[in-house]
Amino acid sequence: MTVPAPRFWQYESLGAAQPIMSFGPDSGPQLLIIPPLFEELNRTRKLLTDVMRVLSAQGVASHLPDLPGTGESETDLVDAKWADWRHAVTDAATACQASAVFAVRGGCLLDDGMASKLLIRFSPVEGKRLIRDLVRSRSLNDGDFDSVAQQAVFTDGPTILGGYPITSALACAVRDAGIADIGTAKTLRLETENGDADGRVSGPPLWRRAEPSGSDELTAALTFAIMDWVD
Amino acid sequence: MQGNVHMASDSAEMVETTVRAVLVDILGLAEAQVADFDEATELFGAIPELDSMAVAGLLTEIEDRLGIWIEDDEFETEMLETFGNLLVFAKAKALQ
Repeated sequence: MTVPAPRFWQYESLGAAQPIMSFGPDSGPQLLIIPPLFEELNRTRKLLTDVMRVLSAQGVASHLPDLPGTGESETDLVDAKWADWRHAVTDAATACQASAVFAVRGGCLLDDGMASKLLIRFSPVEGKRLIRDLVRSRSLNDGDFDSVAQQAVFTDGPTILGGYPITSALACAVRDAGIADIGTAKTLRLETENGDADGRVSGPPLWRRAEPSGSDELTAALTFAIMDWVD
Repeated sequence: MQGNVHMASDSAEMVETTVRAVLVDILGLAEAQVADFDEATELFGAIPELDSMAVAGLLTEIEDRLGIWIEDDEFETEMLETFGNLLVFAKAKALQ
């Protein structure tokens, strides 16, 4: 079996070209992935590309866009607004002619425009929880990041959280973002996770691992679940 | 009374099983390695996978799985010195 090669191209959003990586054929199901946010994005990159490769081998194309200011985007993160990210998701979906959407973790906060497509959510997380994790991650490692500095994340900034300079406007928007109520959305969660789900997959929560790594177990479980709904 | 005692020890066992599973999942350690941990096993500073960057993910995952909430000022480095210390803390929070 040949290993499918990724294609790197660009989608346009708000007048700027943004990077997107694709695997798989032009025909058949086209799955848009809405990636996790910030630190969790780095930690799940290998998992997502592993899933994309396996899907591709099974005839399902998938597309992983960089949101403005993240990944290889030429936009500065401090210039990126929450509304721009929501726009970018819609624009990426159009550019890759998405028939289905796989939103992961914080990516589920950006999927409210995708209700007309088959929408699969994996481990959706509320924005306030995401921000809290980022703030804690820094406060445990930086004695000067006291409660005053933590409050300033939402009023001053930009503040470096998980390696990303996050403006107060973006921090507030993430904190206030929730998971949209979309009745047709399918939710996947890990077996070890709390919360309602339409399906459970076994494997580790890689988004909490400081050392980015993949998981064959989780890749196989996610691919199986996605194929079940998409095919 | 005896029923309560049994319930408490079952819950303590559940906390220990959960903490071991989190160490495997978050630090990427082998299950066999973590199964050998006893109260005296040194963690922070002794296990290379458990460095300062790994602590936040570890605490957050323990919170989620045990349904507890750990305030940042409750966290002391001593908690992670040994497996025994971590268990004492997790049990105190989860079984209170």
